[in-house]
Amino acid sequence: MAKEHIVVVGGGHAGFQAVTTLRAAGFEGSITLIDQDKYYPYQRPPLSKAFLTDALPPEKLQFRTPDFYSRKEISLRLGEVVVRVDALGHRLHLGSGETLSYDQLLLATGSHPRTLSVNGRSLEGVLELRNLSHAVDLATRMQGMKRITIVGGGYVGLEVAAAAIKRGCHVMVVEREPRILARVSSEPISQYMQSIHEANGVEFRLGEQVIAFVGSQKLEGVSLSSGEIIPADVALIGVGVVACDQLARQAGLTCHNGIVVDEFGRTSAPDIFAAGDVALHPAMNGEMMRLECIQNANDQSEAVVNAMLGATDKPYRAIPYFWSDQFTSKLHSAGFLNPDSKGLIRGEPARDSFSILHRDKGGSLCGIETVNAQRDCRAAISLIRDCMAVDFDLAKNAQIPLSACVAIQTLSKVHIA
Amino acid sequence: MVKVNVVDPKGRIHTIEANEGEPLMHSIRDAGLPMLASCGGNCACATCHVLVPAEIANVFTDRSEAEIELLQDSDYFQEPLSRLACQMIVVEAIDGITIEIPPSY
Ligand SMILES: Cc1cc2nc3c(=O)[nH]c(=O)nc-3n(C[C@H](O)[C@H](O)[C@H](O)COP(=O)(O)OP(=O)(O)OC[C@H]3O[C@@H](n4cnc5c(N)ncnc54)[C@H](O)[C@@H]3O)c2cc1C
Ligand code: FES
Repeated sequence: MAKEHIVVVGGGHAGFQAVTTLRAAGFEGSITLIDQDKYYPYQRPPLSKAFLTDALPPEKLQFRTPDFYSRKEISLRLGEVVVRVDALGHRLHLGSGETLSYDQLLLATGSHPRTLSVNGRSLEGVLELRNLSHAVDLATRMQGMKRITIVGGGYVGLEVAAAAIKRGCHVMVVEREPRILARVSSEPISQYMQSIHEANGVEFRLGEQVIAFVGSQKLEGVSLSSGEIIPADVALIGVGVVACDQLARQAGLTCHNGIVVDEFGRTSAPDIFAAGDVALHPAMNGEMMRLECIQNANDQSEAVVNAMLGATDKPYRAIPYFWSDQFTSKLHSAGFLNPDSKGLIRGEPARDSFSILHRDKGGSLCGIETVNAQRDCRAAISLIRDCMAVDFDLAKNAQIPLSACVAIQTLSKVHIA
Repeated sequence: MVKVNVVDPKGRIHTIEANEGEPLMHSIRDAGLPMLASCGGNCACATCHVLVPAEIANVFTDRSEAEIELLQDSDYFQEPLSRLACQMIVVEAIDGITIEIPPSY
């Protein structure tokens, strides 16, 4: 019998994790990893952080040294785009015209920046940031640029804002919502982070929309709904991401802003799986979710690969975890949180270290956000995972370790599952 | 390739192969040992905390400020033995050492 062939589309965090896990699990068939990117698979988080401030060489971001792929007998196809999936024929069509057949396929195509449909979008100097080529371009421009306008006050935008300030640029952040991080963080975090950015010289225009990028060929300014025109050499659009699910949609797989999968990453088509930013999956709290973080890309991919290899005893049930570095603030969040809910403050924002605890409808701890309080984040992950009932009166007091704030009665596992 | 002995949180010893020039975290995970490495090696999560023998602590490059801060904030932090495995680039000189993974969080 011919050796089994597993093909992974996308060599980002999820795709890379998949091929490593396949070999670590002893898979002896052949593996092909395809990515349209020209760089060896690399880390994305530094692209909006150290890569912009510390002049890191691109090789520094590689997951593994280039010889890893040959050592592990992984056929790595860089600079190759998959244009069509033929689910019935178990075949892929590449941009080069070549076709490849597979026995099992993992779609780890990630997400791409949402575009703004306003005039001037294609002016020189209007950028987005998703891959290493984008980051190389942005880092190069940062050397000479004076003014940058960042459209969107989300994590990536704010990290770039902090990096640009370090590089001596004048930074303006325009956000449509009345507060920054509105989609991902609770209000106290937004307020605190805004104050940190302002103290470092970042300016904000909140509750305002960009209506056009202006300039002739080269960007000169960003025009807002208020009528104001902000002078800028560079504009970075960071208004969220959209799942790269077009291959799956064309192939007839069920998609709803992401490829719909079950707890083993199985799509609606036989032998096709998905993981990472692109996968809309049942999360531990029972809701269908698409997560955009490294932890999810890695852990989900690992679980899905095990299922591809026939082990269906370990459904994907990880607790989401995310971090962001902005100036000297380290933000961490874990679990499930509703950014519009109040949450309980632990510690003191005025002392630059605090946490926000989130409770679910049943009153159990379900999520946490921390600023310079990493230990709380890890403690919360354990408490959520072990279904421990938290004594929130105790937990308000940051002097008591969060791990010790356990209420007498402990909830049954059923409560969270 | 060098060999490294890893004591898991339950006290069992595993001998793993580690590839020079790469962070030790990868080899530990490749071997299927319990290490979350939740941030994927970005010196952000401290879930790749290991304890190394005192005599080899200095064969690795110095810990960055960010690494030290994360470690100091970790349970089982022990000076000068604590390191983040994702920040330890494997070198030949560590062949045969024994490191320990503290209990996980
Ligand atoms: C600047 C930046 C900073 C970030 N910072 C953090 C952070 O601090 N912490 C955190 O947890 N997360 C962070 N994230 C999010 C994190 O990077 C993503 O969640 C993660 O990359 C998702 O992994 P993935 O493999 O699903 O997708 P990706 O990493 O996006 O990989 C998908 C890959 O698929 C390839 N691809 C897509 N379609 C095709 C096709 N048709 N043919 C061939 N190849 C294709 C793409 O080229 C890409 O390389 C950041 C993201 C960015 C962009
Ligand atoms: S893997 Fe997160 S700090 Fe090492």
